[in-house]
Amino acid sequence: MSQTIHIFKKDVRRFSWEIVLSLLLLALYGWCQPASWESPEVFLMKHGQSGNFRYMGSMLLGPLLVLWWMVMLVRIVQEEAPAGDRQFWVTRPYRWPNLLAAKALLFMLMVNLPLLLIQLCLLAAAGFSPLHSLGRLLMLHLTLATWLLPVGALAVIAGGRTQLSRAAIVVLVFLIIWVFAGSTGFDVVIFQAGSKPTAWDWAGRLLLISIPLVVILRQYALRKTAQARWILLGGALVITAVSFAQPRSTLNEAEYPPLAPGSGHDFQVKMQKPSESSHNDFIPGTSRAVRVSLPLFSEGVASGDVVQVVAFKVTLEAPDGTRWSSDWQSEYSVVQAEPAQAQNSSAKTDHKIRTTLAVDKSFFDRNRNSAVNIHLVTAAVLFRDHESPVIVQANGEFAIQGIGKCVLTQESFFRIWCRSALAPLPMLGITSRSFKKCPPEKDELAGPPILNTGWVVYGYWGSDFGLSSVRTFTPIMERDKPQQASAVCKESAITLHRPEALRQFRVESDFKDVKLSDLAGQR
Amino acid sequence: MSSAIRTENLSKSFLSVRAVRQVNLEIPHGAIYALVGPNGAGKTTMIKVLMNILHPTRGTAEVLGIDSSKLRGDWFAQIGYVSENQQQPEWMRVDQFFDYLRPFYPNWDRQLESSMIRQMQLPLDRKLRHLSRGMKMKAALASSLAYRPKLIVLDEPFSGLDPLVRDELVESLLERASEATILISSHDLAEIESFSSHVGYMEEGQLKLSEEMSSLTNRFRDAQVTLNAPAVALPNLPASWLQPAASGTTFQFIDSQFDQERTRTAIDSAFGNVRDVTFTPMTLRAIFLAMAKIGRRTD
Repeated sequence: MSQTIHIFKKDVRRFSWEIVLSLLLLALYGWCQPASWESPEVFLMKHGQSGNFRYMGSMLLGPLLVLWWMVMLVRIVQEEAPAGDRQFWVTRPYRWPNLLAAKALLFMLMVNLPLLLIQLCLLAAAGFSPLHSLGRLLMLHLTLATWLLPVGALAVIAGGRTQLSRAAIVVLVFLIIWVFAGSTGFDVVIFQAGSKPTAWDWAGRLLLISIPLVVILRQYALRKTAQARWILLGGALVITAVSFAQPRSTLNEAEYPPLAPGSGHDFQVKMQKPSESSHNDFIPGTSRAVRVSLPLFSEGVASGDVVQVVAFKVTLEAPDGTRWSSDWQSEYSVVQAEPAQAQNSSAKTDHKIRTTLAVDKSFFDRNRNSAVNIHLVTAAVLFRDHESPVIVQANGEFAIQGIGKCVLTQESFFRIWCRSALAPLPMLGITSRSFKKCPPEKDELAGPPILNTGWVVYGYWGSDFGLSSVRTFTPIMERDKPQQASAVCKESAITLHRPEALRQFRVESDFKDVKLSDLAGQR
Repeated sequence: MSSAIRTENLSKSFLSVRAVRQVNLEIPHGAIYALVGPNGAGKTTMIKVLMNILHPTRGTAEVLGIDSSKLRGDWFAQIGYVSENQQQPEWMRVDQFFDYLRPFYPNWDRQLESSMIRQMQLPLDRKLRHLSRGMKMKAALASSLAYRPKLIVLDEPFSGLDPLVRDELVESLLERASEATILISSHDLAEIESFSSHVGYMEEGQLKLSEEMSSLTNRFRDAQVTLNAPAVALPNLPASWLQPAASGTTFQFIDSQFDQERTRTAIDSAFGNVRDVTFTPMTLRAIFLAMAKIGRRTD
């Protein structure tokens, strides 16, 4: 232990400037981060010149910090490099566990601990209990480790800057392979964010952490650099192979049984005739695939029900009997009965769903002008919005239980900015009463309300390598009838929906005699 | 008594390059062993294998009684290793360097450290990176002697140093010689001849000879034979006569198994009418030059 502390103290002295810079950047990060919690316009208005700087900082400092920590990590490891044959420490009485512990201690005390403190401060400043999020914060640090450990593994097998540069080139080649793989239709889903992690995702993460760890431990213990390099290269190949080999169809069909007739729900997915749809957007394809867009819409969502479409599977059958089938591909669409109409009648309404898929180019070329049959399977979750909605006024900050705090802003357009601690977020709908202009006319206030509803898409705002302990998001407000009204005024009541998940199901639809060329991307 | 260093068929290859080939070496405790040979002979690789900096391809090595591949951590509290191309923590000042190393060694002798710093005139307030090459070597040597190691391994320590610094280093080294085994590699034979007790000669990865210095210098003689009549090349000269050369009535060779009486008898029986014979002791440099020439000829 005393040797660990002794080496640690030496490294603190050695890297004092690097540590000071890291702490300064981190403090700056903590100061800037609240800028991402509300709209830039509002923040800049509140904070003037410094607001601009802080807003930029909230976007740039996360990646900059991670990059700096990578550099620091390499320098800390290379101070007593395990690779090479000219190192001073190899013939001194260093015990490798102490050396490794000293390096880990330095990094944890000078990087992880200050980061954790900043994250806790940010949670407190955002109005959340810091202690409730400790477990999830540790998971964030584990995520950070998946970025840093491979860099550490490269540092322990490189004998100097030249070898490090070579290693960086190898890493670049791997990244290019992954990018190429992505562009050719393969899903490299190890890094996929947002969706619920599958066993394959966990396997990928486990490999990403365990392979560098094995390399680092082995190299410190044995200093067999050539073997360590082979292990790392092999590990990288295994991770690549796992990325390629994992099934793209990640939906467990057993969890989505067919919607039985008489179940009380008659949710259906239908397709508009291509000529009727506003199908004029260009969707680029690849050399091996053609992007095809299906102008779908749904019917049969009962009043008070909300249906979240999670995935599609499409089979195309050509007149000659040949078939092309997509795997399950994830989708995020939320469909509900139109609130205004739902209040007045039991009528069930339709809702547009648009999905795109990459059809094999040779199948497409053979059948582009033929009438093909389309078999569509849609997996979805049914929610029931039976809870009493929470109504808040459109001014200032308001809390949503189980989610966090939100701020409604009304500048160039209406937007809700929400922030949450790291808890998983439930389904959330936001309905606002809209007016033709603000302030609304008296007769409009007295008339039937025009409501717009949005469902939260949990794509997080900002990109900081997952350092932030406060997640921010903006619910996307869909307006099917924007011509009616779009202004959310102070008089607008905001209604929050927290529907309860009732069941998962799948429905099948068949569309006959569809011309593929009508569905393909076009300029 | 066991040896301080012992190797058996030790080999080290780098891809297709065989840097060390089947070396069998034994260095007794208390010896000052000079490992000599031309540049690229494999001396540094051999030492790096002994210090477990490199791993052997084949064979075994024992250092202070343990397998060199297990040499790490606390074992190095008994070994002082100084190499001309070793990277030092150059950002440290000399006093910080000693302060940093001290806790690693239970036997660190502060008095010895102070006396060496004084003797070597090391500037404590200067960073290692700002020291001259000679000063750096002195600091490295002092830091490797201050804990009174049982084994001192020096890889080309005098390379590129001026004679004054060289003498100071040798002086410091010899003061520790009574309590340690010293292995020193060099391609400069003159500088190690004066103080080495044993010598090993490496060439092209092979250990061509390894023996006590006195035995080596005693068994090599430059022999000059003056004949009564011009010398005739004889087909069956003893194998231990190296580089035979005849010129008029003079015949010259190097005897690698010199023994006054036996060599004289062999000369008489080879030439018959010998007018005069002189045997001149050879320097280490002359001995190895002769061996190097033979080595190249047999290649």
